[in-house]
Amino acid sequence: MNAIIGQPTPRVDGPAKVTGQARYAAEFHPHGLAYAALVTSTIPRGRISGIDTTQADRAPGVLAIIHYENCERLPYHELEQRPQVDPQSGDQLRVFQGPEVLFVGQPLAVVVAESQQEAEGAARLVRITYELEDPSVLFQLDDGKPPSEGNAKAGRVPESERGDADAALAKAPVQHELWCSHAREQHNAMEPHATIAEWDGDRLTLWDKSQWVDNVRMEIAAIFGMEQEKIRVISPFVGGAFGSALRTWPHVTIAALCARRVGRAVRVELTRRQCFTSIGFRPLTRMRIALGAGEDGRLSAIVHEAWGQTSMYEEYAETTLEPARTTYSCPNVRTKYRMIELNTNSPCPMRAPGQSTGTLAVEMAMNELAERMEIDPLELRRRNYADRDESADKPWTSNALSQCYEVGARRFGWTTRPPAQSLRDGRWRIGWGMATAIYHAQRSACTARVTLYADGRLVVRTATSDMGPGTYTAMAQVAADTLDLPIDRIDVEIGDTEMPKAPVHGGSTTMASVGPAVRAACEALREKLVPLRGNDKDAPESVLQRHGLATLEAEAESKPDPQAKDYASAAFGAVFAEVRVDPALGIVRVARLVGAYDVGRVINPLVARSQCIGGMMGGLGMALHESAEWDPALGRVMNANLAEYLVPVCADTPELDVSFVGEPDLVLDPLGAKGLAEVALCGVAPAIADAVWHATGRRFRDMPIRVEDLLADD
Amino acid sequence: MSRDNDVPAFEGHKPQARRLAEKALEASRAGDGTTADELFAEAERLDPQAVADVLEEDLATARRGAAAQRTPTHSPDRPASSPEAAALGRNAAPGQGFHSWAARGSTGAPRTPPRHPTRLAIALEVNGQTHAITVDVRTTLLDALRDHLGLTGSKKGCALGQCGACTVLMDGKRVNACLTLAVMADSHPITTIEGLAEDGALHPVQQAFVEHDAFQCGYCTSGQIMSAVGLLTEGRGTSDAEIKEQMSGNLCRCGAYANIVDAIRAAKETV
Amino acid sequence: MLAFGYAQAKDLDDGIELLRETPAALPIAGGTDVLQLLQEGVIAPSELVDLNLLPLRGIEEAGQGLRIGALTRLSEIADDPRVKARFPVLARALEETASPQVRNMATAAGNLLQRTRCLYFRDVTVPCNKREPGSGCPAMEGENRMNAILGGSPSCIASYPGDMANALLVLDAELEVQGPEGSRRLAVADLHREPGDTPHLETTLRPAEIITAIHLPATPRSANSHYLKLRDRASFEWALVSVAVALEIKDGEIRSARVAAGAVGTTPWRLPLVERRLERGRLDEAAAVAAAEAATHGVSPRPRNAFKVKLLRAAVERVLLMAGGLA
Repeated sequence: MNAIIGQPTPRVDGPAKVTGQARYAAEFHPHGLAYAALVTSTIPRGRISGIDTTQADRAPGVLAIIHYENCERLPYHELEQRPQVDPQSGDQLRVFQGPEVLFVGQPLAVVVAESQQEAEGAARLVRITYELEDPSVLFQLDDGKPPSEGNAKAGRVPESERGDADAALAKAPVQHELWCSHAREQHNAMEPHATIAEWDGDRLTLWDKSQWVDNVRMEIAAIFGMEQEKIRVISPFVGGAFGSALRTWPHVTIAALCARRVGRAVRVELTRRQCFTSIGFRPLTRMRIALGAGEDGRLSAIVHEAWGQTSMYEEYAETTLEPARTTYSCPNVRTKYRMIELNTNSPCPMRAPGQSTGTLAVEMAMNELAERMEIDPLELRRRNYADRDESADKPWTSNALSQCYEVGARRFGWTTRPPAQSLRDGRWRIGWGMATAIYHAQRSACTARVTLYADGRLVVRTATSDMGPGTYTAMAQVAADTLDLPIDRIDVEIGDTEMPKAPVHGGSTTMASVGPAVRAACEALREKLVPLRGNDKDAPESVLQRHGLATLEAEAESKPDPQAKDYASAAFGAVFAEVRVDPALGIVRVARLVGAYDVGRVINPLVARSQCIGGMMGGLGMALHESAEWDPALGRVMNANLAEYLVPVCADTPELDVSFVGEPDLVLDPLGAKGLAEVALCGVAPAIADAVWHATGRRFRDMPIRVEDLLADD
Repeated sequence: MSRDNDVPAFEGHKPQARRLAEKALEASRAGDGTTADELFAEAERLDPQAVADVLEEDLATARRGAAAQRTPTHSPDRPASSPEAAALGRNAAPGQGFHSWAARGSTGAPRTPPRHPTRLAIALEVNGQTHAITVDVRTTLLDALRDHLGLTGSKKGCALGQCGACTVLMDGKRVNACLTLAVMADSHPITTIEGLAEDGALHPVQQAFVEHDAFQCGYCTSGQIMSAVGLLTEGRGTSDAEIKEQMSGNLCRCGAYANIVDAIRAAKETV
Repeated sequence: MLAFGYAQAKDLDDGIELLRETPAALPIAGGTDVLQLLQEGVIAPSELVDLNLLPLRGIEEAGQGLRIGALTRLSEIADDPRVKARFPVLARALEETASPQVRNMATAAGNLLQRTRCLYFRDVTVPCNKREPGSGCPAMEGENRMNAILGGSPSCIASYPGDMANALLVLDAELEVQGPEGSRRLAVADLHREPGDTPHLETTLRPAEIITAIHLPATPRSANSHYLKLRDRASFEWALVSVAVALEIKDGEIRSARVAAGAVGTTPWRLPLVERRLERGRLDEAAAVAAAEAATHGVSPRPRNAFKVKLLRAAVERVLLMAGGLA
């Protein structure tokens, strides 16, 4: 151990990223690479009545045009068990297998050409005609469908109840109810999704943007009816994903189809507009929440109901109602989830899926209850602290939420919060708000392999991914710490199915899952070194040299401790926001965000802080900017670009302050890390909304809060 | 024409002023701005208050109309008992006519074939090296760098100039490589992220980005750094506020902006 | 993009000739809007005529005013000390335009000719009367948050999205235009056309005409000119509403006024009624409020952009207060 864990080590992949040498999916260039462009549907529902490729076929450079009329039928084998990243009911979109059109933007044909320009130009010449059918385009709560058994098994139940929430609510001395929502949000990672496919006989190589290469391999094998061993998926760098690269999207299949058809490597890179329809999104969710409380502010009842978007072909439900069941102590809780089926592409997890949505409702309701009862919002939360997970009825593996409140409040200066509408700076009104953040912590089985070379270099390999949180760096730190090696002697290689199996890189589970595997592999290597070692002080490489060994290798799997099943785990946080509002002009700007987080052990405070400020900016976007504008008359998102789908820019950046509190959570995993990507986004939007109320005296409950809301008459 | 304050606004002129203002509104709606302005001017001369009244009433009517059609999304409260009332989104009937337009299929309109060359031999001067290539004239500078020269450090995030990931220096100034054609960049010196480090040593901005952890996924990073180098070359960035404003053409979805500002402030002292 | 030919104009006459001989040709200079339109398939010219070799770049003194070459980049105008000192509204409007990268590329004339950001115009999978005359206008009942409340017609409510033109309106700027029939002067105010029933015709430029320069006359108002741009995020976004104002104030009295608004009209929108209310009065809070009230005469808001009515008034009021040193 050399105590490098916990050090603010600069990213080991930093030099590659700042020099442009880090290579993302679209940037590989296998010999003879050809280029593809998608032709997508322009109606929300119907059938293809004709595909005319006469003009496109004649366009220069065109190698092939594939569509359902000339595409081979693919097996699309059912998987024995669906991966948790896929909706548990319904059928994935099948590419070029039939004339059905289920949403605008559905890939209906692909053009392969010698250059990207020729492919895109010819794609514009493919003419598709349709028979129209009546689409489902309206988000009407009456149409809500309960999640079916598949979803329920995965914990997304149609209804849940402990105690008798409605009775308790009716009896409660204080009752508060509200409706709230957030808009449909798009991940819009800076790197557009892309896949390069190349066949060598019956073997397939895919360079893909993926948070889970093992799963891409498994799914493509099932789609093409191949043995998994014949597929290799490579994804060393992921240019942001936030959940959008969890699934194996249709364009991956399309790339493989194209490459097989033309007998060359082929690249499919989605345009930004296609990134709004060819992958997923965070579903627009509308919620009703009602709190019942005693005169002392203790909650006696929570009723939380949510309606979220899904597609016509898959049943996507979220864990939106978990915060209502777990955040606060309350004997009577009832929840309900409904899906509205629309002719759109399927939603998918986006950073803190479900939980950030549910937290919005729970925290808004708590803030309004605090106002109504004239209790400080922070004090109200303290009174309702849940010292165990009352939903699972299990103790927490660790919980430092109280410290989050204390440290966050101190750093923000919360105790001096003046009355609403009293803070001014010229024409600006200033407001303060806060919220709790919670995100469940999990761990999955993972395998890692470490190889020591005679030159003293140690290589760590596992099929995990790094979409930005710093997997490369953190794993190097774990290895350096375990083997007491300088970090610059360690290379981490990830994102390749040739490497030992790793779980999905998502849901804030990477550190807790992959870290212990790397540690275990390093420990196994150390054990192998012991009998070879004469003198304890010998450097590992000199041991190898003495024995004439070129390499020494060890592999280990690390699994969740069965005992952990007796506990519930979550990361916690407290978020405080200061906003400035110009009511006459309807402008809201966030001036400060302070977050204090209990995420267990922080492996690298430098990159951990980066992740937290990133989550804060994501929450700021949810509160004030992000909204995919759905036109029901046309059944499509109209602002499918980065100029009109607004994400925060540099000038929107407030002063950001991040603290970490709490202790290593050694029950969850031997490193004690709980994960922090998601919790950092939770709570930000309701804290900002509360601050806007504090500044203006007005409650805005539908995110994003925009100029028109501020200017609307009360 | 200016308002004549000497004309007394006695009641006798009010009805006439109102009529004129209403006519002016009609003209304005019909798109006849000139007539509207003349009528308004005349009405204002007679009775400014009457004009203000007409405008106020017009506005109120417009507001009422808008409120009636207003999306329920943003109304502050709605009855919880009625889920229908709480439906999100405008509940306009699907426009079958609009869909029919799409259903007939469309391709690029029939056009005159190009008379001028569609492929051209050009010389791109990138990072001090001249690359002679022949390109389809549709090729953007960004695609030429990435697909023809193998310089994939410049990133494609939107291809529409809306994200800044493709920022390079052309003639010493930061530009979006996706918004210029390669043929238009012929003979203009270009610096990409690959040309920034000298003799293997990181440029001070690159070094500062590493030290301040000014990125996560790294995809926007090349563009951020090239933009920061451009900013410093222009002599800007004298305050954090100016750095933030000047870096707002570069989106970072990982939200590393605060660290980016720190890095640029630090690099400014070194450069 | 569909295939197009590329030709570089060697000089002005060559450029005009290249445009004249191929009616489906499109001039390109900075390219910042043209490339977007090409990428999205909104336009499909048979050729691009590259004007960048024409000697039209730079800012020079002309009489008491300035003459800005058509190919001068937006950043060059915004950074010019003479523009900053004598025509501050123009510098300010340009500083808030797009991003630094775009400002380094986009040209003065190209900026004036930028196309609307109407979501329906930019999405080729939906009808649009501007893009395909007679196909319909789904923006009327659709996502028209950014669309115009002034100057619309039953055919089109696309807003003019730019900043610079609003500033030029209050500066009484004129354009030098050269075409097959020779050269002429054209007020910026006369450049853009309201949609009427021909929304695809956006300017009064004649076939093969090229804007060669912008003239900024010195007026008693130019130096006291201000710009306010309002948007959702703090930067890099088209305006929800923007207002340009130029005032001649003598002995505390407003002698003459020019006020124009952006992103509210189908063209850059002059507000003569506001101007009249200001003239001959003093600039105080009450005067600003009274004048701002006149900003919204004749508005036809749609469901999603009705807030622009209130916002336009608030913006006019605020920019007047800024001009009077009261905000």
